[in-house]
Amino acid sequence: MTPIEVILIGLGVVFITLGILTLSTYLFGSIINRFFVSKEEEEMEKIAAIVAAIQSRGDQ
Amino acid sequence: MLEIGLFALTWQSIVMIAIGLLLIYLGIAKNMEPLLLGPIGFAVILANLPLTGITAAPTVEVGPGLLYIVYEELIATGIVPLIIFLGIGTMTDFSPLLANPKTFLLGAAAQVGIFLALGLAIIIGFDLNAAASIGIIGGADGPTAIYAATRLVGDRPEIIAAVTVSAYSYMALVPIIQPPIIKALTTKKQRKIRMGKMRKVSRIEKIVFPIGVTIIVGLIVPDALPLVGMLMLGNLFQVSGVMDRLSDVGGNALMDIATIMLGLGVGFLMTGDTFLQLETLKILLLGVFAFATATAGGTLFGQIFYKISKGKINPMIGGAGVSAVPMASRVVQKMGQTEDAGSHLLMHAMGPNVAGVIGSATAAGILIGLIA
Repeated sequence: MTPIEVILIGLGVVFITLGILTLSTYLFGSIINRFFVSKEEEEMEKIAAIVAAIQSRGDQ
Repeated sequence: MLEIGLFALTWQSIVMIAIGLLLIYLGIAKNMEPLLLGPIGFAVILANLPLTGITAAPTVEVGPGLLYIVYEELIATGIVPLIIFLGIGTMTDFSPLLANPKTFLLGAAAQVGIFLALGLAIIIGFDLNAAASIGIIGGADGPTAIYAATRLVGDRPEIIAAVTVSAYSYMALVPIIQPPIIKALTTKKQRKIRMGKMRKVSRIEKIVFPIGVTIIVGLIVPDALPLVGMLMLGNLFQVSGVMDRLSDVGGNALMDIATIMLGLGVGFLMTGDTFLQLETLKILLLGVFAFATATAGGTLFGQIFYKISKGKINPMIGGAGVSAVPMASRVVQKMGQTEDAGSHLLMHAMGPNVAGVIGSATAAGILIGLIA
């Protein structure tokens, strides 16, 4: 393999790989935010409410 | 018979001991990468004191020297650079990249420096394997540079030593090397651009990211998997929220042990007869070229982002596409605040900066796959 080939293939594959990572990060980000994040936040709010209740009981 | 080391000193060993003292001075007095330059400097002194046998390969009569064992078992095998990558993973926050995934491409653009330096090294007279090792300096990532060099030129310690010293030196010199290049490729008006607040990234996204990156990179560039896989494993420890003990060990104790071993191993490579050569000087100069063109490549790609976004993206963040985290981001933040005190570019620059870590590891894997 010649140096020119290494440079062109190497740079090309770097851009292809990170380009695919860009697209997949957008894709998974939008799917997760659409279908999962709200549920997670609800659970976190429930946990926060339980923790607050326990803390207030401890204060009494 | 008792042999006195003093009478066996050569001018090469005296020069190398002076270099060892200089590295210790830079680490302690100037605070330049002290955790690394301290052990390296001390190991250089150890390696160049005559008649100690500390760097000796095993013979029929005598066992191997300490530094020989450290280098052969821990550095040449790639174990220590990979453990350091795991530690880096535990300390890296990919949220800015997840909030703005297109900055992955700025991290890719900064890898131009690797390939331009490879081309220049070939023109100067290095063979393809050596040129690829030298090019990796442009990734501004010490562990990646060592890992790639041991794979590409494992039988030539003089090149591995020069590449390692060059990579770590320029990482420490990021605040000096980058600003004039970024400034030359941007206008005052562009440097003043403020960027908006980033979106909040959910915990699930943070957990899926390291697993997804590992699978995707592993499928496309298998030779990059050891580096990227360890980086992402360390990151999974951190973001999972339930592996704090592993994250703590990986980012602290294990990382520190690996750093000490790395210092000793690099010191082993820096003996007078291997390091004091014209090739070393050439590699150090090519390293500056690699690093400078990497910064320029990222900044110029930042200009494309600036045009496409109609002026909303500050092109300086492209300059942070090299993987010197977080120094390159801090440079961009400081340059932004020099022009406009109310500008906060740090987190925006962290996106391309952490993308650069993945980019340089990917580029190293590609070169290993194509050449080694």
